[in-house]
Amino acid sequence: MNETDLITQATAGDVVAFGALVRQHQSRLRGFLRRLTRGNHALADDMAQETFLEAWRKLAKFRGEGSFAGRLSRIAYTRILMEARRRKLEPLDEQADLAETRAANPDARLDLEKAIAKLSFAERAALTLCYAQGYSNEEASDILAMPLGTLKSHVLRGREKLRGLLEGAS
Amino acid sequence: MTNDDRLDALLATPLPAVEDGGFSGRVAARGTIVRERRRSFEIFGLLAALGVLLALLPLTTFAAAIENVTIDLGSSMPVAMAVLAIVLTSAYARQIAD
Repeated sequence: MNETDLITQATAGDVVAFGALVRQHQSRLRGFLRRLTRGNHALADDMAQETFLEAWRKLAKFRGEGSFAGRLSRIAYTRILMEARRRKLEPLDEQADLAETRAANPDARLDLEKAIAKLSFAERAALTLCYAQGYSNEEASDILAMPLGTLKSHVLRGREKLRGLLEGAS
Repeated sequence: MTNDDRLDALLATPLPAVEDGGFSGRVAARGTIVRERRRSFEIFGLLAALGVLLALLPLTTFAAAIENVTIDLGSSMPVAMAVLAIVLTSAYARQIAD
């Protein structure tokens, strides 16, 4: 059964179809949220669950504009921003522990994750959507509900910060 | 490979896959509970609204009005003619069909 059929059935209240949609998208969404929450799996999974439930509730309004995965990411981003404000989860500014982390674990990918954790939410989200998840700039600006120019600034600034962080750590 | 290319390659690496580990099942189960709870609230709200409406409506006035209309209809010649026309047309149509 394809995604459109699953969406139609889930809209009609079919919980099995909804479960199948969750199964299809959970890895991508939870991965995105884990990065945004700087690896807080419990918080990321809570946010992912609430995102799926909100998406199900609003499924009738989904007219196929954009992808379903993009819509999920948009809901998730809005939720995580609200949660961040509520919990005051501000990004860390200090860069001190990256070198220590690198000494403990020389894996470049772990370095990257640590460095990304130091970016702002918007920069983290913009880089993840545009690079790791392969969205176009237009799609990412729609998901993050920000103008295209702002998205590009976040990507550029995030990249610059990352380069500085990774070079500083090596 | 420049530092920029290396950074691009690192950033473009897909995020690691996350095992489902029962997550989908839990979300679907929670979704069912939330949906049923919302439906119960809707039914309760509807019944409450109906109750309020019945309590506030001047039912005796309505009953009197309905009684008047029924009596008027029963003693009306045009209505009787219309009913007769319908009955005759229907009987004629059935006869033609037979």
